[in-house]
Amino acid sequence: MIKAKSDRVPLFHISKRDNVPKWQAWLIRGGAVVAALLVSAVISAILTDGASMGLFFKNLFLGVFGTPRRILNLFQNTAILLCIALAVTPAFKMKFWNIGAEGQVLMGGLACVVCIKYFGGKMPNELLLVVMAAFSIAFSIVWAVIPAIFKAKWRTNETLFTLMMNYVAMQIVACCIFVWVPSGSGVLGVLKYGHMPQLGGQNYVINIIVVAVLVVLMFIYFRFSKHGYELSVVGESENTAKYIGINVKKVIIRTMVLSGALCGVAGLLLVAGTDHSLATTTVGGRGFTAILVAWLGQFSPFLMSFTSMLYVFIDQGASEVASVFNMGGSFPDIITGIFFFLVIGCEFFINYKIKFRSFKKKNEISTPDAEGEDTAVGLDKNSEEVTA
Amino acid sequence: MFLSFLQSAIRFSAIFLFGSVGETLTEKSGNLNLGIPGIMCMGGAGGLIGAAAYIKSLENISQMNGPSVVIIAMITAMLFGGLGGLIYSVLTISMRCNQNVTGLALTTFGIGLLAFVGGTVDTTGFTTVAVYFTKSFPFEEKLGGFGELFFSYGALVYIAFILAIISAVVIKKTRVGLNLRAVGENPATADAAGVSVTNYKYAATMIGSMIAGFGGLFYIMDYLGGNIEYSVDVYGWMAVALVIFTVWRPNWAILGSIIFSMLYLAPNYLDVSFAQKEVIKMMPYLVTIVVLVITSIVSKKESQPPASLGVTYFREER
Amino acid sequence: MAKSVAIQLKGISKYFGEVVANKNVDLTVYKGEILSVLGENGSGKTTLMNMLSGIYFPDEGQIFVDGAPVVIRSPRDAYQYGIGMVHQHFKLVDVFSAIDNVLLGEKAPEFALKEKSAELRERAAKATYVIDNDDTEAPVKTVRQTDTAFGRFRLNARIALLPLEKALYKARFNWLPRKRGQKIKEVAAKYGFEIDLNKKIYDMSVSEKQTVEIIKVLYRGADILILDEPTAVLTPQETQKLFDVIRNMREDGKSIIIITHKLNEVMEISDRVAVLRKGEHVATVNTAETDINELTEMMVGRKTELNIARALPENEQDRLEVSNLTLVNHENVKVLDNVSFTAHSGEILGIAGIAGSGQRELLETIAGLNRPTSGTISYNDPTTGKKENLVRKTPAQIRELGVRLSFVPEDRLGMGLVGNMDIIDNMMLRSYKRGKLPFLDRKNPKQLAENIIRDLEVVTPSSHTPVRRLSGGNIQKVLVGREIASAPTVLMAAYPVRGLDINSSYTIYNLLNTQKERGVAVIYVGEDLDVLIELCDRIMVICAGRVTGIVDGRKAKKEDIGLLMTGSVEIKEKEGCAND
Repeated sequence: MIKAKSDRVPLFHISKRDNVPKWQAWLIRGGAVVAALLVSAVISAILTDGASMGLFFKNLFLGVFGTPRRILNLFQNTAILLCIALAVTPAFKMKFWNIGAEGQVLMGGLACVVCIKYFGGKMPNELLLVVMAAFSIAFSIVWAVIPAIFKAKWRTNETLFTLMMNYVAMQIVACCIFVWVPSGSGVLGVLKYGHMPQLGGQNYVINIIVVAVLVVLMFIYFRFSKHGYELSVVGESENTAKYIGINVKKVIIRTMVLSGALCGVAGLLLVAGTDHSLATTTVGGRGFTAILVAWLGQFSPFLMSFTSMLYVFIDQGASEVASVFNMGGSFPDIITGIFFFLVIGCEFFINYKIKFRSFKKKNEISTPDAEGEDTAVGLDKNSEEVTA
Repeated sequence: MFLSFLQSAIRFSAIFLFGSVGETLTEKSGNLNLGIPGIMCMGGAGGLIGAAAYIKSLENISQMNGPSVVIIAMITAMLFGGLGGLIYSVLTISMRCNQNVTGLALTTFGIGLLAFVGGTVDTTGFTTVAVYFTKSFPFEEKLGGFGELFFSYGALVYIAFILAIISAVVIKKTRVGLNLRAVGENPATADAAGVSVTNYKYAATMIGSMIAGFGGLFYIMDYLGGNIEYSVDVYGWMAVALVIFTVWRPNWAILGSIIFSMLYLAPNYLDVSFAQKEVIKMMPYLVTIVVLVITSIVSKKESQPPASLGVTYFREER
Repeated sequence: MAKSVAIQLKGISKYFGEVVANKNVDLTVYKGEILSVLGENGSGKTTLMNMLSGIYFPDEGQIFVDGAPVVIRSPRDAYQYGIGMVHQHFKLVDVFSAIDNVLLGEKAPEFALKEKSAELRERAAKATYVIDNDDTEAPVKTVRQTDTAFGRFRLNARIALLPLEKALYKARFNWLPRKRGQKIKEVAAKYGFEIDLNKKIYDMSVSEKQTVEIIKVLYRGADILILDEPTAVLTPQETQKLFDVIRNMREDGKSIIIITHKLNEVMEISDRVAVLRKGEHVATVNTAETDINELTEMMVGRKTELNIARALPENEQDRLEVSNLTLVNHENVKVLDNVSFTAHSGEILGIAGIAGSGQRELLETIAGLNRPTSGTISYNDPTTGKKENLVRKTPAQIRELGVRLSFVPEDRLGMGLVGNMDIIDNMMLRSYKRGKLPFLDRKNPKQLAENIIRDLEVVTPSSHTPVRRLSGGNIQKVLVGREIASAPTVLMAAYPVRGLDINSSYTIYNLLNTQKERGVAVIYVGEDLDVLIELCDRIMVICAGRVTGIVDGRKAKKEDIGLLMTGSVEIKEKEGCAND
């Protein structure tokens, strides 16, 4: 008989729970955000040899709210990110891991540039914008629906498929740019045509309005439409979907069409609304960030508006901190990385319960057995429960 | 011409090989680590920090000892890669967070870290360091074309090939590999058979991340000759593609990575326009998609992704 | 006969949230005995055994192995204490061969450096007798290895090299291709298992898989074997073979624990029986000193007079005619083999059979979830009098035909309901498509949800509570309530009372009876024969996908149904059935 070296009671025991009150869950999440900011402040203090925390927070806020321009930027960046986040949400609610938003948006952007190149100046700007929107949406849908078809038909792994599609899209864009720019510099200059009209003398306002409308529409779609209901059933349980006669394949493809269409809108907003140009880095990782933001917002359009703004706030604020403290342009990526780690990690404390077993009282409780087994470790009933 | 193309393709393949061997090990344990590009960046950042710290400790750059600087940079690259793996493991294995989300966050973080370190670190002496990294066998010249093809690389290239072979053997021929595959296929079964799922997942993810970390180091110190460039993550994603392309077999990854790097480098050796170059560079992704589609259509059990890939395991789930 | 104790459980409790799976269970297992753990479905047998095998960790209580208290935190720990479990759902890796599955998780026997070196020293210090014929004075001499300088050097070198030896030993153990599976073949041969050990699991039949599981546990040298419902999936012959093996193992001095709810097997194989009821230990008795009646009483807590009301069927009409239905599944196994029967309106047709004999597939095929290879399912519409063929139609198409077919599936939260949605949204599953607008109507479902909560006394905070938070009985009420709300003409229910308490079970029986009185053709798949006999008007018995007989529920005897279930008897009266 081998004496196992594991004659110890586990230090703690993890069990699932799903009865956390909503306010408590949000308290934990809020705590994680605060913790992330504090950790970032400490890191920036270390990196700058002791810049005070006050200065960190001051610049963080100044970077976002310092000037009206910055506030507008906050909303504009939020709008684009939120638009992509809205685009990935239908698929994710269906448990279709579409990490190809980057490529889908890029294809939308490419379609816009194609329209500008070939129709620019030959038709009125308003008409051009409409044509751009149509093409952009169509291109993005194509890009999104290809993996969906394979997933529906042969269960091809969609995570890996959509990931690869991103880079195919990037290469196509790189290729097109070289075709359009014969000099070989690989940089497409600012395009003259196809600009979104200004509203109230400001750029970007249309972007913000469009996305705000989309948030409401998507909320209605998820909550009140039959399609939205079907896709949540498919996401929760494919068996149930089959049981009530939902055509799962059809729903997968239809949902990815919607996903792609929204990516197309994001592509349009990027090219016509903000950049007026295109590069392989136009989306700049926002296709991935959007997934994180949507996940943090629990795929609810209104919560996602909040989380995407929070992300942009931290990103933009950290840029300001970095430039004031002279820390380079990539400092915000580190800070947002830490923010994500902590906020992702805090879900654990919401979904699981950790039960620590108190060791101090061991001797009092575990009375030796009749056989004199005083090594017996009585499992104490008064183990404490820790929530967070 | 073709020889030198092949030679540089083999050399460049190391970055894909490090990444894909690391990711294969991780995926075999059922963890779909989309943080691998970030982890490769972190490895690169670690290497930079290690080399810079070593140079700083010297009074004069001429005192630099080749083997020491190489080993120090490798250790720090490993530590940083391992740190990335640790973050991923703690979040996904212990805290059961969503793997895709955690991986993507890690990639954001890693890219940022490399760019930050690259911008801050003192790069004086890095070209000298690179010389040591690219140092090949002394008898290479005497062997002509044969020597150029087989003995002209820096240490890291050989390490990449050796690690790939070791990983393949361990996965296929040992009990450790058997247990690891079982963890990735069916963790509940492995658990019931007495395999510690948590330990295997941690070990595979951490070791995989350390190996991937070398990829970033190789790219900056060997391939770029000590110049810092931040596009490591692109090769990281190609490494993820390579894992699929080689249907989760590290020994095939050797050939696969050479094919990938040939496709990637071919435009430089062909007389084609910039646009055509970009089209050729698309090939690795396209062939990966084709492989992915074919394996799913054929649906041969042995060439499928590990069955529980991307799923977090909780024993008391019910 | 004084037997030594192998395992003792003292005061074991386990809770899953609010649900008590085990409460204060005491249990003793002796060496060299076969112990049956008997209990109804949901009585906590499997949970209890899972705590022995390290799958779950007890919330309260203590386990003793060989008299010493132990902590079993994982299956690995369990193996170290010689406890091995064959789960009901096999724990095998599909893409591995049998050998690889057996080898999985095996640990090298300990290579203790200290003890090895002590052993070497001891051996070296031992006197060796050398017969030396040259010396006539003393032909036999005593020599010690430690006497000579070279001998001492050799000894020290050996000891110094022990770590290396250990490493080599570990490496050799770790290396798989070396004589892989030789010992496994020996174990298999010893107990007379006939199996191709190089076959991949995905190519294997259920009984082959079980064989692999048992070989695995035996190979690991388990002294205490836990078998969870081992006969549920076996044919009678296979069961007898298994019992022979189990008896052999008892002769070897191993303890075998069989989890079961089949009384005849308990009587046949076990030495003692421990009975669990609702998670609590009722009693442990010697099999020789008890009988089936007493065990049943202990198991269910009272005599199995169920007193389920049963009205005579009225105005019977052929509602659903199934003929020659054959279904082949993904693994190319014939799960339904030429099944024919007719379900009448105004009666409850019971379906009995060993678990996994094709009951689920039959209902799913009728509901349009599977595409049968051949056969017809025709539905006689009571309003139009038309005949509709349901084969190769999806559930949606069946509904569009106006066929009011309701189906309470076995897997409530995995198929019948969506756990994360609230009661209202679950009500909508059947009706969400109504209306021309692309938007949902939540008003009627809400009304329905509230009606069901009120009428069926569903215990829930509100109609907005996600159904997964409800208890098993309430979940089932929600599901059955929804299915009968659409005024069906055919109602199929698979194991609708599984895991439910007595009160909830009776609620369900009453609901089914009400439907029957309304003229619905009710098809009831059950596992408890007593219930089937008291509830159903006719009982169809299936075995391995074939109909072995259809008997009258009022006249049938349990034993007869049991014989039909194992396929040992078959009633050939298909013609009579189809025509009546």
